[in-house]
Formats: sequence, structure tokens, C-alpha cells
Amino acid sequence: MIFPSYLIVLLYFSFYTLLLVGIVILFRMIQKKMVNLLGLFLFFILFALQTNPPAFLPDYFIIIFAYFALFCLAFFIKFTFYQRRKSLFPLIIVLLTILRGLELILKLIFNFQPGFSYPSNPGEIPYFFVYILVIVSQSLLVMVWYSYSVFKSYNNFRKLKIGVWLKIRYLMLGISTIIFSIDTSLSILLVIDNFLIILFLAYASIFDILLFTVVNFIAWVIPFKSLIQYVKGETKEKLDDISEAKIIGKVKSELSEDKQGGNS
Amino acid sequence: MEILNLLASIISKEISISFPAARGLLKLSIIDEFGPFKALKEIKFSDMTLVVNESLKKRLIDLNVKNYAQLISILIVELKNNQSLFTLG
Repeated sequence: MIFPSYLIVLLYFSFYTLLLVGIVILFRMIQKKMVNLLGLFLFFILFALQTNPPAFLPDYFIIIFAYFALFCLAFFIKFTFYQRRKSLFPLIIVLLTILRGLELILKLIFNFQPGFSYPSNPGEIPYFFVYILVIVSQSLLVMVWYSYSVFKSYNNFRKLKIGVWLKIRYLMLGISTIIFSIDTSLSILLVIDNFLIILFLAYASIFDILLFTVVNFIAWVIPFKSLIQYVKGETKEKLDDISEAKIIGKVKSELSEDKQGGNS
Repeated sequence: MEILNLLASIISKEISISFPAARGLLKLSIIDEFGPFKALKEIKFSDMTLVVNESLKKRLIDLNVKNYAQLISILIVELKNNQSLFTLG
């Protein structure tokens, strides 16, 4: 099976984009001292290595990279959206580990290479279906959780008084994870032995990797608030520029106005 | 800091004070806990939980806000639900 050369170029482009965004997230993590961003940083680096692994590494390393990439993304979701809250994190990690184990076993027995070769022995085809299903469900598990967490947060504050640019970023994140999930589901088509389908899936996955990477970069890395303040010429808000007496006076007068209003 | 706006809009709604007054009250509570020189962008989810549970609660009691306990629990729930704003905001 020979892939067009521009597909290879696009694959390299997405590899370097993932790597670059990963490195920028690392800087952001250090700057903001936010440990949860470590999960996102490692996800992008491992995902880059998964899309374009070094030639000297055996196939099995891709499975390991993919496992840890999803594990790191789940870690990021847990510590960004669910600190001190009940979440699906333990269940997702257990399911992810079981599915990855199953994938590894099938790979060891049959040496399947979806997208590169189709099983020649008809007896292996049902196992090939299961193999594809197992791969697809792992990504879906984490991506759907990511999408759910983003939309749930958006829904919590969409009517409250916070920046519109923030709401737009959440929407963008939610939509990009949905597109990623849909594309991941389409990978189930790999069970059909057709070069055009494989080519279509390759382009679709490059498109959504790039979309997901760029949107995550915009959402978690670009300091919009500082940029807006800079453009408007505003100074950064500080804590030492407020007067306690004025604020307490204002709160007290507003509270008493409310009581009087309530009494009348 | 967007989480400050979010909490201020809840306080403003719950005890019927203006948004700037609620925001100011929150800023004073942060100063009580960490002093005036901590940068707002350095405040994390755990810091803000501490501010709400300790200094804001004390200030609401001092201001004779009757339903302060209910307000504090609403704020803690909202903080937990919207904690991603600390990373994104």
C-alpha cells in the first residue's frame, strides 16, 4: 500500500505541530505553576510520538505511547475539572488499562496493522473487528469525557457575568473534542478493506489532530485577558489598590438599603 | 481574574449588593488570607476555597449577613463546578 507523498508531508506537519504545542504548554505550566498542565503537555508529546514514532522503535511502542497519551489526557481532565469532586477518572483508567491490555494481546497473537495491511486469513477477520473496536473505544472513552466536562462547565457559567471570549473558548474546545470523537468513531471503517476509505480516514485524522491541537493551544495557552488589557492600555488588576473603608462602607450601605427596601 | 467575577456575580445575586461591592469584598478577603502583594493570577483553586471558607465567611458574619452559611456552601459548589477557569482564565 503506497500513500501519496503529500500525506506523508501532512503527517510530519502534524507531528511538529503537536510537538511545538506540547513544548509551549510546558512553558505555560512553569509560568503559571499549574501541575495539571503536565498532563496536557505529556499528552501532546506522546501523541506526537504516536503519530510519527522513531523508526528504530518496534510497533509495540506505539501502543504504549497511545496508552500513556490517553492516560495523561485523563489526568489533565481530572485535575482541571474535578479536583475534590467525584469523577469518572478511576473507572476510565481501569477501562483504558483493560482495553489496552486486550489490544496488546491481540497484537501479539495476530500482529494486526490496521490501515497498512488487511488479514489474509478469513479466520482472523472477526478478531480484526474486535481489535479495531478496542482501539476506537479507548480514544472515545477519554474524548467523550473531555467533551462532557467542557460542555458541563460551559453550561454552569454561560448565564453568569464572565468574559464572552472565555465562553467562546469553551465552546471551541467542546466542538473540537466532538469532532475528534466523531472522527475516532469513523475509524471503525478500517474493518473494510478499501484503500480509498483508508486514505479518507488518514486525511480526516490529520485534519482533526490539527484542529484539536490548535484549539487546545488557543484555549489553554494564549493569555487572552492580558492581551485584551494590553490592547486597551489597561493596567493589570492588583490587590493593593483598594480601600477597605470604602468597600465595607459601600457593602454596609447596600445591605441596609436592601433591608429597608424589604421592610417597606 | 474571571473566577472572581463569577463568584462576585453569585454574591451580588444572593445578598442583593452591587457587583463592584461583591467583587471588592472578595478582594478584601483575599488580602486577609494572603496579604496585598499576591498576584491575582497566582491564586489557585485550593487558595480560593480557603479564602471563601475562612476570611470571606468571617467578613460576612461581621457584616451581619444572616444567610452566610448558605451563601458559603453555594460559593464552594460553584468553585468546584467551575474550577477549570483557574487554568483557562
